[in-house]
Formats: sequence, structure tokens, C-alpha cells
Amino acid sequence: MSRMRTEEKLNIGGVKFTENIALLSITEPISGKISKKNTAMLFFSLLSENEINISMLSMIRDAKTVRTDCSVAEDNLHKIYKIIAPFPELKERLEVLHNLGTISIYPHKSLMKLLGKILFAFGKKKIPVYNMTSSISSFTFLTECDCLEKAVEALKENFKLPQNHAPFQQQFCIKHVHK
Amino acid sequence: MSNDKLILVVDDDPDLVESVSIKLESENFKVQKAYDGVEAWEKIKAEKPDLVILDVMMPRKNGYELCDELKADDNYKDITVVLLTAVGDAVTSTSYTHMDGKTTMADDFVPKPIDLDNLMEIVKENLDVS
Repeated sequence: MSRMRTEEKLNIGGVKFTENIALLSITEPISGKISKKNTAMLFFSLLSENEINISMLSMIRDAKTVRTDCSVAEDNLHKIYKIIAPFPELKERLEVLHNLGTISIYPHKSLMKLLGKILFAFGKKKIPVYNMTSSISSFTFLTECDCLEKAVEALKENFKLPQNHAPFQQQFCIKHVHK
Repeated sequence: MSNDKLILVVDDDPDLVESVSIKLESENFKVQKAYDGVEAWEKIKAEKPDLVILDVMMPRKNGYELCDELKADDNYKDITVVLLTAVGDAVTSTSYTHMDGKTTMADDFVPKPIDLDNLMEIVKENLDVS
């Protein structure tokens, strides 16, 4: 007798996505010591001074280079290009990926199984993941804006969402207004 | 040991809901979670909480609307509502301000960013729990 193993769909509390995100990457050689000339350090100081929010931050290191990735709202790019203009070494090392979006799944309840299933669901639908982070409640994935709807469909197929689910997209955003 | 008080935490920021819930559970409260005003109403009808910690800026139904509806309903008007008022001074271009919050019938207010210890004090005071 053949036995088919059927797995129950995992419950998730909600899914949220944000559009119009850009991924900024700075790749620099490993110098062996922390220097004030470190381009990533300079870049993040400039972002901080100009009150530009970053929604994701990660660092990847191999034998020769360190790559620092961060994501910001596309609206901020013009300002970012302006503030880095006086620093040619920074401009040279900065790569920008446009038209991205984030999709957050919550609550994760520290379940690695949930993370694995999400990645599997995205992989099956060939949804690219450029970066991912976790917070106290959510797993967040950076993908292409055009893939967000497909990602939601992949999640609906593989997980149980609440019947009366909240909107996937944030309806407002708060900005600090200087008087 | 649980103190038998049920608290509903409502905010569209899942991280805030989670951190407030962890703190409440550490103080032995029972906790329910909702991520917008509509979902909160459903949870309130399903299992009436003793207190609702309610964010103001939320999709579908904001905190003011939900608070007004609760206080206008004889079945639910006795539920204590603590509003989380987020903005006020920082954002001049929004209709959600602390002053607006004061015109609602909420029982108490906590400004954002939240001081969890302050929130716990307010919750315990309103529920008469030591």
C-alpha cells in the first residue's frame, strides 16, 4: 500500500509588502583594520546625518572583499546621489538595484521550519530573493516589485492566512517634517 | 500564574504587537493579537477582552473609529481602551494627533515610542492589578 505523506499548511498571522525599494551595495577590499576611510562607514554616516531610513542591512564577507547591502525607499535616491557626490571613491563602489519590494511574513514564532517553507514556496515560483532579515516577529524578504503579487500567491498556496486578512500594502507612511 | 485578565494588543506593526505581548505575558496577562481595526473587532466579539491596547494609525479601521464603536456599544463599552498615540509633534501633516486622541472616549493614552514599563503601569492601574 502506498502511503502519501500530507503535511498540514502552517498558519501565519499576516503578510505585508512595501514597494519602491532600492538595494544599495558597497563592495570594498578587506584592509585588515578598521579605518575612517572605510567607504561603508562614510556612507552610513552620510545617511544618518541626512536622516535617511534603511529598512534592511546586511554584510557578506569573503577572503578578499566585504559587501555591505542596505535598502532604502526609492524616493530617497535623488538625495543620496546628491550627498555622495563629493566622494568619488564612494560613488565608484556603490551599486544600486532598482524597483524592488519587501514582503514580510508574521509572526514567525522562531520557527526555522517556516523560513524553510517560505523559501521553498518562493523557489518553486522562481521568485528572486536579494536579501532577507528577521525581526522579533517577522521574516522579511527583498524581491522585485513585479514579483510581490506572485509571492503573495505562493504564500496563499502554501500557508493558511487568516480569513479576513489585513491589506497587504501599507496605506500610509510617516515622515519626519522639519518645521 | 495567570491573573485571568485578557488583553488585546492591536497595531499594524507586528514587531510592536510582539514586543508588547511578550512583556504582558511576562506579567502573567493572557494576550490576544490583532493587526488592524477590523480584525480587532472580530477578536473582541469572539472573546471579550478586559482591556484593549489600541494603535491609532491602522488600515481599514483606525483606532479612533474602533474606540468610538466600542464605547457606543452596550455590550463592549466597559472594556478599557488604552490608545497608542504615535505622532503629535513630529508630524505636522497628519490628522492623527495626541490632541485628537483626547477627544475620543478612550480610558487612557500612551505616547509612542512606547516605554514598556510605563505601559505596564497604565495597564495594571486600569485593571486594578498589582
